Amino acid sequence: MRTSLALLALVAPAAALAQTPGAVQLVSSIKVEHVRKGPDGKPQRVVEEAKKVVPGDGLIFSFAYRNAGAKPATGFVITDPLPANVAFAGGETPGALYSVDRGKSWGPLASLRVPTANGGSRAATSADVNGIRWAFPAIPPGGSGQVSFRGLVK
Amino acid sequence: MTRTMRLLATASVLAVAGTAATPAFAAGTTAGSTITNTVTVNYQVGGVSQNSVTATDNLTVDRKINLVVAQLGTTTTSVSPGQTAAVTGFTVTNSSNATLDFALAVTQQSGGTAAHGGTDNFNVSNIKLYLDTNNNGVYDAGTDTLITYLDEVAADATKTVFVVSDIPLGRSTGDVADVRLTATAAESGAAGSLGITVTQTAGANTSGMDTVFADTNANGNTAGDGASFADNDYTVLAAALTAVKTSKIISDPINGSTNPKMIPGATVEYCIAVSNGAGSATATSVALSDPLPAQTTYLSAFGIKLNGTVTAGACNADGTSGGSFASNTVSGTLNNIAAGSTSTMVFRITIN
Repeated sequence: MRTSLALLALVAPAAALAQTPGAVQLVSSIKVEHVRKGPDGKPQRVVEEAKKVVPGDGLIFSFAYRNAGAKPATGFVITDPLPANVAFAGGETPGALYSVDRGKSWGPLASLRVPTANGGSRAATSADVNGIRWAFPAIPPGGSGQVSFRGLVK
Repeated sequence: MTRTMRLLATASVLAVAGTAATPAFAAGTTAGSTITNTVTVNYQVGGVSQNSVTATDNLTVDRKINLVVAQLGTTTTSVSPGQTAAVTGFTVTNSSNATLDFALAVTQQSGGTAAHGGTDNFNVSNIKLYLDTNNNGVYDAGTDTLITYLDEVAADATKTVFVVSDIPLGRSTGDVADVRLTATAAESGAAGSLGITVTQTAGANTSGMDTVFADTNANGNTAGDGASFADNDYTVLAAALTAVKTSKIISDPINGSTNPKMIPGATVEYCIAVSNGAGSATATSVALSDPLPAQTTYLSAFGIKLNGTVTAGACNADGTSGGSFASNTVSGTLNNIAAGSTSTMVFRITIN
């Protein structure tokens, strides 16, 4: 189960990589996770192309990047403002930074606070996330990788 | 690559825990709408910011058909034998992410445990469905609309449907009639008409809007059939009346009131005691009539006393004057008799 999840998530981005012109290439893919009855009759999670998508479904957002240039890419930042109809559901590649104010400020989730109606603030939860970002100091020429996170269709 | 793979594997384990929590979205994103995700990379080469790189994905949200029929309130409807327009209620909620019509059907259970316990043992008749037009949760005759289906129910909307029916005569306290309301998802189509039954998208998923049945198997329902049902019930609460007629000789022409005997000219007092059983419905309009035997004469000087009392089974011969005597028959109508109480009609005759 664990192996098949990882493999499925990798296939599509790898195949489509070399198409973006420019020094840095970026491929985005969204998969949907469905629960089906497996061969043993027990429910099983299946990750597949996001064609059948209904509210409540789990989505896996994956971004594959590659530095196709000859020089290192520095200050490398991948940013995804969550679509309005998707809720952040965790399960992200480690090292992510979050925003709960539509990209004005970023930080680890535990450091973020959300204003409350009475003028105070409370600790942010994953339900408050409306942006996710990964920052890498430098990607060497030819360097590549992939980051992913999970969402739920509202 | 190896490193990436390891990270992803870690991510998927985390995610199983993450998505296991029930999503808090009821109907959710409208069917047919598009989720657009745009990811951006900003970077520098040689310390100079380069044009950002973006990638975009679009998803079409499919139509999730989910509906829930539930009983309105938490108690059975208490009914009297012969009652007309007895009301029990249901709510029908459209938890789909699209507007739908709902076909409605009422079926009567035959035996089996009813919605609020007890065993179904009779059927109601003249069943009609009404929409709670003014949304007050109470059936209002003349205001609520007679319906056969629910028209144009928006995503996340709940409609209240009343089942109105007649209770047969001759049922006793504790008898139960269970009724089941089944709602089946139908295309919303044109307003004012019931659309065709919704079907799931067959075969391969398409990138356009598909239809998926997401109704659950809660409360005995079948999952994924695009329909939902719930039961509610009527329980009979009847009056359980018993009448006991007693007599006592008041006097005779020879002995007077001392050890009077049943001889011609004797005065006899009759007491009809009507009792309503404990736990029964209050009996109203209890009318008594007692034709007198030919050998007796009604004593108009005493008259008829109604609503008297009984002490330890003995008639107190009290009460207030009322009733009537005509065609050699004594008649009277008693006040309401509550459960567990007794009321009497008392009159006197003389023996010819």
